Amino acid sequence: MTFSIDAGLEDRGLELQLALREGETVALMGENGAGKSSVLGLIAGLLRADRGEAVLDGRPLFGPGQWLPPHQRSVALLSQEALLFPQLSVLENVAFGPRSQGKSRSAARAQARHWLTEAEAADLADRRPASLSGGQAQRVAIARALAADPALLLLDEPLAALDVAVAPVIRRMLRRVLAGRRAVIVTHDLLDALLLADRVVVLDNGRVAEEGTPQQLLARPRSSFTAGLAGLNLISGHAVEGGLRAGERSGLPAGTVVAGTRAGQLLDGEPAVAAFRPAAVSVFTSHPHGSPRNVLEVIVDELEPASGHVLVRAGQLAAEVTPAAAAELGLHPGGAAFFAVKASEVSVYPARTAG
Amino acid sequence: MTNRDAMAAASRVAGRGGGRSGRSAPVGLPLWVFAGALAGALLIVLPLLAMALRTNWSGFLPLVTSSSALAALGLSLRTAAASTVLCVLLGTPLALVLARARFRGLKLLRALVLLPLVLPPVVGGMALLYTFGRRGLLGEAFEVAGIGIAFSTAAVVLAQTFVALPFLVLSVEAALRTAGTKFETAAATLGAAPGTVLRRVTLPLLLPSLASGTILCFARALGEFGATLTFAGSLAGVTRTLPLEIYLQHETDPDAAIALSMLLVGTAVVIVALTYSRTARPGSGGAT
Repeated sequence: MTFSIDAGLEDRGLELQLALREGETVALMGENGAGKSSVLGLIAGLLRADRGEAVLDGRPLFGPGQWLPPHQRSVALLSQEALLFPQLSVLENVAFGPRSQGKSRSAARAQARHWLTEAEAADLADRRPASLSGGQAQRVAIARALAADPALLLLDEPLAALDVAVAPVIRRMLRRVLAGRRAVIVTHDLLDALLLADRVVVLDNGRVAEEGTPQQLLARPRSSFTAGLAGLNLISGHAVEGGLRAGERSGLPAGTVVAGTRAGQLLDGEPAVAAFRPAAVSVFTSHPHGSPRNVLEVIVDELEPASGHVLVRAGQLAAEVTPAAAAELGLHPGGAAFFAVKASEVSVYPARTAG
Repeated sequence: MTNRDAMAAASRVAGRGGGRSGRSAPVGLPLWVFAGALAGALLIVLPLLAMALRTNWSGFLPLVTSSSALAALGLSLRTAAASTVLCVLLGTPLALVLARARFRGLKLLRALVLLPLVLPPVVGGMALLYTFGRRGLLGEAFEVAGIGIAFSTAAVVLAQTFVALPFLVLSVEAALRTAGTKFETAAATLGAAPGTVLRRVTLPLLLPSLASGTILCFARALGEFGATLTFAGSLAGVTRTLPLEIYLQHETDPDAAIALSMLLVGTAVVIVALTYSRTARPGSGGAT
């Protein structure tokens, strides 16, 4: 019993294959406009694919000559907005799914009370949606989606519209109710991926750029998006003797060789990336001499305060220095600088996931 | 002197929102805007006032309770109620299709359906005559079946529905577009079939706009004159509604015409007040 989708949507440049195991929660991440929400739309039946098919537990959701309308898919979609029906009480909102699927009034209410309790919102049962706070409304929306007993649950940035103080509490509750449940969660937030998902799939321009467990992606990011999440510098290119030759999209002069520690299974000429921590970078205003490190000449773009130190951004790279060092060096946007990093601090590994 | 005081008072009101402390102070409007507004308001209020002044109040009750007046009033209320029901039954599906369905020619359909809003009612009456009249497009078939529509009470109802329908369609369609489809989408992904979505989600969200649309329809039907006269004629007790009665009485008994007019004005005021009190409470479906 699985879910799989293999579909294309031309006008959004989407071309995607994705499969979920029983009980697996996948986080769909990526830049804005990468097509994450369109994927949910395709699965829920709110968008029609130009190509491909999707199958849930052996039932085709769509495919060549096939189309199951949204209400027959058993796919619930929870969005940023709670979208509780304003004229119904909280209890009736949660009972809406079971009622629509033909359950009796009393059975539907019993089911609604159960899920309200699971969502830690049992005390809200008799309230009207208009009288709820954002966090309360989202709890009820989660209970409503779960009460519909979907075979697949889709969550579109479920915590994005909530107060920073409320989001962690709801996230903890979601972690509990999503455990062992098949779900796809679209998110920008690393914490959602870490705490809610078994696997992360990164979309870039409508295609899967990278996937793996959150731990794998953070330890060895392969796209600029995950490198940003992990707070690492990432240079893409090809493996060469002793390190990596920077490629065209790396932001470095083509042909620059970055010395680093190569992963064992890496072959010369294979597409690879080099990753290092901003804290491992030393910053100079003149070329440092006589040390066995990588020295990259850069133009400083921005200086950003970051807890206790200053982040010096230059193109796709960043270096972490103390505020005192930043002042002493006289760094300023537009000024030239040299980023130096020891070869032992740079890990070079394949750009593609094995298998 | 008094004139200048009045101007000063007006500018205080205009400029500082009444000057009561603690109230929000809007930017204010230039005085000429108030002058224009006053002229506009007078254009509407003054004629009504003039008619009220000409009303023979001592004879008011006998005038509006004469048998012909009561017959016309009763006919008006019955036909307006019937055409309002028709408007709701036909206009709601029409608005749903215009707001939600997607097919070729939808824009054209929308323009045609709203045509009665801008068409002179007399033209509407003629169009109905050439459809349902004895020699009309459908009329001949009806005639064979033994049903004569033109110049009957049914014709009055048809004429009123023809002119009032766009009011309901506009009001409901606007509400549908404002509400958007996100609640309906949420309901569908929870497993609700289209019929359930319509009954439990869409229609409850539409209730306020349906109410105001219904009231507007009733008002428009009650005041219908041109299409009724052309298509249904002016047969006492059968097709002579209140506006037609007023028009006839105006020739022979102006006092009665004025009294009946005041009756319609009163009804209209009540209707407008009802409509506004509905729209002034947008959250009527929310918390109590």
